[in-house]
Amino acid sequence: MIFNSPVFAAFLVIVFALYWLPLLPNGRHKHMVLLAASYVFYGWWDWRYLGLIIFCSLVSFGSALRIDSSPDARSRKAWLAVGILVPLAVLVVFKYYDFFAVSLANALSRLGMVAEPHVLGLLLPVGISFFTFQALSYTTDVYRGALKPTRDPVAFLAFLAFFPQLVAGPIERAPQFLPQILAKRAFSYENAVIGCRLILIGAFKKMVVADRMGPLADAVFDHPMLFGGLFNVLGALCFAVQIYCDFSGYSDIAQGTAKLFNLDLMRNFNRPYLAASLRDFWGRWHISLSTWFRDYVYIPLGGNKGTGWHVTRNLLITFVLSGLWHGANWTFVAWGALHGGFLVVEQLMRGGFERLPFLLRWAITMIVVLVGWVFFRAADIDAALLFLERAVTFDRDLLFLLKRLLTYAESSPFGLACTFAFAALLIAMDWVTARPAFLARFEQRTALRYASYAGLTLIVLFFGVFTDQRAFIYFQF
Amino acid sequence: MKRFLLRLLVPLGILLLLALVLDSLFTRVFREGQGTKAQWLMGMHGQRYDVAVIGSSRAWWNIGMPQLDSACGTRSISLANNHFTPAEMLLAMKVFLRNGNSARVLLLQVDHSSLTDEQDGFSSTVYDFVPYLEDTLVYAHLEPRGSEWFWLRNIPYWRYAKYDFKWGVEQAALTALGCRRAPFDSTGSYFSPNDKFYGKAGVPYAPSGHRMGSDLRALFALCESEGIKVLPFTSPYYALEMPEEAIGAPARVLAAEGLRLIDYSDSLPDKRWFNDNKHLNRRGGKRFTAMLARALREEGLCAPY
Repeated sequence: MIFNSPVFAAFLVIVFALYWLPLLPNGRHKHMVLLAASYVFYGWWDWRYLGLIIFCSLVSFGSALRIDSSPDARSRKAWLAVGILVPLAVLVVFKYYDFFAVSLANALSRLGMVAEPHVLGLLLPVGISFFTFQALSYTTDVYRGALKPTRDPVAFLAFLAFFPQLVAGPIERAPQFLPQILAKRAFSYENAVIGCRLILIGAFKKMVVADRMGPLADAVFDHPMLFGGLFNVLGALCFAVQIYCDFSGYSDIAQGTAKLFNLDLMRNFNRPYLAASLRDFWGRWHISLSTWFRDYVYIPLGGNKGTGWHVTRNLLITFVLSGLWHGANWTFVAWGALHGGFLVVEQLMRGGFERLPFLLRWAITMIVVLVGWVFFRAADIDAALLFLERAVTFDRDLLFLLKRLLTYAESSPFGLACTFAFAALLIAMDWVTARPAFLARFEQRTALRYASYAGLTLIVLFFGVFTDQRAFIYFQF
Repeated sequence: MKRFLLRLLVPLGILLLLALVLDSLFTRVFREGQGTKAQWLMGMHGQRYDVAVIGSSRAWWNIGMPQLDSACGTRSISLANNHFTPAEMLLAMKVFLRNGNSARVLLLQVDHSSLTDEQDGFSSTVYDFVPYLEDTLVYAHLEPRGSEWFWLRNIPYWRYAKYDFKWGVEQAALTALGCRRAPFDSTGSYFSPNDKFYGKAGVPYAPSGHRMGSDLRALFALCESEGIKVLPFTSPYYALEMPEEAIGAPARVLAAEGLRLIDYSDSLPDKRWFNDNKHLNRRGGKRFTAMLARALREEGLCAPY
């Protein structure tokens, strides 16, 4: 069940009704409705994996309680190890085991040793990286004393499996989100309206921009030898727009859906392509993940403290792990290493980078981000290198290549023009909504507001991609 | 809550109304169009033909009906379409006959894909019939094969939103302006526009599990009940590496049903006749059409009505 499907629309209506119906006087049924809905939502993919999420949830719930009740530091540490190692083991077995086994066998065969890798061939459970990270941060926060563990298992299970953010984040932190679940909630008209607005914007980003950009990026990435030069750059740009709109569209819909239940999820994106340094970029892109790695990996490693070598090491470890978090493939490792490496360069320049003119900083940042996306999107390292190699070639026959692009993307000149026009509209929307004065005027002018909603709805209806409901890219992580 | 629901239901109501109007408008526009084989077929009434051809692109691209007519003195029509599976051929044939059209002979392309698991279900070409879901014959054929057809038919505008790459705003505007042209001539024929070869030698192809499916069987039965003589044939391939047991499997399956397959698989053993390993180029299409004309003559089926 994905957000841009009619099944989800029907599901949401049912859950919304059950949630707000006064079934129990104290409103306790709300936890149960959320939990049941979340498990139905998750089980829709593969009900067999429900056991996995329930297991991880119970381990985290139990170990947090034991940490809290343990009388001495040693047993607290032991229960912390249980709370961390068990979900981590689940993640490693399901997501990374085969990758490491095959990589090890390949490395040994290069050294002349024959090794037959033993692979498990397990199906990757959707959203495993998200719910395990949420579980890890909960146990760690309880250990650090940042939060008292809850004794309400239903509320905790609902926190870990909350369906709007279960499969692609944002990765919520218990100190911010768990109290909301535990609190008594009343319907909020304002939040419900904001929720609907976010869902509409998310649908526009995903179905109109990302899903129309996707075939253009696919055409170039799947046939790098047939294009080249400007068209490879265009393909990388299309993927940059696609992944931003796909993921931030998902986050908007998740945030909007949570608002319908009067719950607030954290903001995951803040106009990342306006970043003028990689440090700035990571403060704007997938904020819930970057802050997670900052708080639970980078700072525990030592963060900015220590010598230049220590900071370099900490940055590289954090970003390589962040790359690996995205998928069991060397392309993600390369992507993480590229970002980590450039952050080291920024760090070593000791403010020198910030002194460059804004446009130059922005251009350099975007080039690094684009090159990173090539590794992120390519099937393997060789394909990424071939793509980059082809990007610096020049082909005179641009019209022929444009026709070829349209053929492979199954588009038309009109379709292409619409796609870029909608991307431009999104940039304009991002730009104006960043201005508080505009937002205030927007809220006051009913006609303008309704015209905008109607316009966006019609664009989604007429130009949205409904066929096969392309899954969100971050589901695979 | 009441205020929220009211404010949500009013726009949703307007949206539903709009969807109803648009669905009706788009259906009307598309039914007047001639841009696809389905539109062309649905608009064909009361025509009498000597020969009809049906099959996938391997029948559509490979056979020129005007050339066949001039060689045989017949009046013929190509109902073939890209990706056509037996279920889609059966639907096209049902529509053709229901509309009062007739043919004496049906050249039916039967390949490995029409006899292995590939034959089951529909290809994307079936969505060419999306504007005709109110047609009882079309809907009766599609509805038992998946709940999608129920939703496509009954949720206003859903069919055009979902299949907008075939039936979207751009296509509606082009159709209304008369700018959406069919890529085939008045006989339904289409030859590849170039003679270039894009395939390669030694392409592995391992079809297996050959069997006569229910749709193909129904197609034979329909033709028999209408008095149409069916000539099953296989179009030429180029340099496919097939396992021993797959070679000749279509002929064996049909023979088991008491039918004879005219097998042209190896009849054009040179890449200069092909666009790729399964599709003839323009030159190859002309050569293959001449072969079919000869076969019709030999069968004594060249005489016109």
